[in-house]
Amino acid sequence: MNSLKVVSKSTEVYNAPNVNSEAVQINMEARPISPERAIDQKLVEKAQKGDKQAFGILVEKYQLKLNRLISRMVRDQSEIEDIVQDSFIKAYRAINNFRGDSAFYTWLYRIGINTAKNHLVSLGRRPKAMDAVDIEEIENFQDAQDLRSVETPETTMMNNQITATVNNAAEGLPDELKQAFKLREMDGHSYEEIAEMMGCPIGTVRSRIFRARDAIAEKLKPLIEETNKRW
Amino acid sequence: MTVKIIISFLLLSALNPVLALDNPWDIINKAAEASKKLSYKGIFHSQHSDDIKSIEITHAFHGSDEYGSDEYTRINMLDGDFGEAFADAKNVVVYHSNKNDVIMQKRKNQHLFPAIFPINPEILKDNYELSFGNKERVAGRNSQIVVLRPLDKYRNFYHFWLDEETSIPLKMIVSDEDNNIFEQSSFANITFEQSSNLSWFKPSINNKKQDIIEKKSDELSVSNRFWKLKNTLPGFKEVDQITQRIPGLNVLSHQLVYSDGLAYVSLFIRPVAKDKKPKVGEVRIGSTNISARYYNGYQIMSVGSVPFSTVKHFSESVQF
Amino acid sequence: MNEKISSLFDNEIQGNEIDSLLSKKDRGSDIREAMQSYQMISDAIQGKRLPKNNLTDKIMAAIDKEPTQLSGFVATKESLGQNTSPSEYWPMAASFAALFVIGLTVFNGDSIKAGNNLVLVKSDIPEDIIIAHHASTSTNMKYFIKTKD
Repeated sequence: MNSLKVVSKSTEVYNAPNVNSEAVQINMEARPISPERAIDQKLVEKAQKGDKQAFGILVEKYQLKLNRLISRMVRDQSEIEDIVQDSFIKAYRAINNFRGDSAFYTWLYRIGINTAKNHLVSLGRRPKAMDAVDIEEIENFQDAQDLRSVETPETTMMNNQITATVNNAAEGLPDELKQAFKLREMDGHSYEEIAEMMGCPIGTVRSRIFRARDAIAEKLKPLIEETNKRW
Repeated sequence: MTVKIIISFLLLSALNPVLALDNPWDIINKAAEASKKLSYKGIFHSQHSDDIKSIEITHAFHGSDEYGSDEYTRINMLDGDFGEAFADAKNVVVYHSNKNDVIMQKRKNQHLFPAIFPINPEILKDNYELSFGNKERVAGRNSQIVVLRPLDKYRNFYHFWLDEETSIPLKMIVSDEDNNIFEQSSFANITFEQSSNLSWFKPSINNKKQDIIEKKSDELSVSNRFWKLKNTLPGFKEVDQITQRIPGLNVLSHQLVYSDGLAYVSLFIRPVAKDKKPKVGEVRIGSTNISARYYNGYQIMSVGSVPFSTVKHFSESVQF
Repeated sequence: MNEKISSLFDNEIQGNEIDSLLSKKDRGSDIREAMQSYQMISDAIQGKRLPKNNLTDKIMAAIDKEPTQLSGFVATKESLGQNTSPSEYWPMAASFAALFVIGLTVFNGDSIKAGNNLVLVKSDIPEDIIIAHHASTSTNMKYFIKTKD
């Protein structure tokens, strides 16, 4: 009689496929936020605690950018200015709801675009070209020259004078100040990078850039007073 | 992508109705209206000084016309001694137990939570600054924190948690600038129901077991106002004058009530009996500050849940 | 101070420097004016067309009329009392020990010293005055219904 060979049952317990924990692990490492975003977040937090001056700095930082953004949707300058103002007021009223999940100016720009859309709709106009703008593009939004704005001969002359004064004043700066200033303004280097290039401490870079601006501003004073009357 | 933009903005507006307000003070106007013009029932806890009581409120609004408002309120104490208040558009009556009996007395008007806003909340703008805070849940409902910060040192801070849906105050804290609480009230539950049934609008007293004693008001009308206030505080207006005969004495006691719409101060002017020593100074009883002054034979006392500087100002302002 | 503003303009300022920059009241317009000047210089150096109008002052004038935004009822450290409770729920039969307080002190004293004035005590104040005041003004039911015996 043949005995059946008992095939021993595998004693191995069937295991689920070995999940590669590394593969499924979500990378929870936080992306470091930019210094600009950190500064904006700090200003927002101060505004949330009742500091209107802090909000004023955010207005100063972004009113021009927002103006240029809205001008891509709306032609009339006075309407643009009204929309920009309304957008900032709405942002201020909602400031306690800003949690920092996005950059402040991304949040602000969303408010701006929707304020502009509502404005156009209320006037019976269809929001145009801007519909197609991807909101994420605003992260890399470059200042657009407003080719549609019409300048008067007086403003053109004033602007040319200001530009000439600034350039002349910059050229007349002591070398260290000029170098630090231009590395910052024209090449967009950070203070840390400039410090490395110039072989000096960051504090010295900061001081040089400030002194350069101060010297130029002094030369601009008479012209700025003239311009502020217009502004 | 356009849809995303629109949805995110709608969400932003929906989550924050404040964004949609053209006039931020509208939220106070809505809160004042809600406590009068909604029908609701709920239980709230009310704390004054160190004493907390649970209170049930039933409020019905059946509309208004040129003759007035069809509004009914019943408020009853759930803890401690029996106490109930009833108010319709014209009358306010209170019942509370006095050992074996129940005392009934009329009142002129009531500013009981949640109906604590003045009829015209616009008057608050001159003396308070409006601020918006976070959103929080109260009594299972979403609410928006709104703070009225005083513009001077003569008033307290009023913090409201306004129901997001109806704007009715769900919670209130009155505090000073150091966050010390004077009083607070907070709903534990509230429901909104419209019903024409007013069977609840009657005192829950067992007439067979208890006698109801009506305490009539001894109020007299007086035309001779011999006093004046040399300096009134901004925003405070005289809202009532009550003159009564002091029990057992043949002299009149005058009570002047001043209010800025939220804060109330009573100023008492009464002669001092010859054999009595007048009181001069200040004291706090619970959450109530009192300033006392003796002037030309009269005891002047000002009373209120307001900063000391306020009651002091009132007591020192009386001249005649 | 302007050096800090210059750093702020370049997004190179430290957090605590922002605090010190904004610590003095009414510096807001000075800060904005300096930033506007730096922006003008920056635009000119980079060959950009200079903007027509700066709206900041107009916007801030409108913001100044707005209610100040606050993030809720904030307890100060000094006001934290011993009876604070992290719980936000008030039970039906609330007792003082279970009171929801977000770190706030409750008045319960009966007499205090007030400045240079004489100290009065509770018994110095006629009870009918307190009752009469509450009967006319109180937002609290317990005090509103009280009548003199």
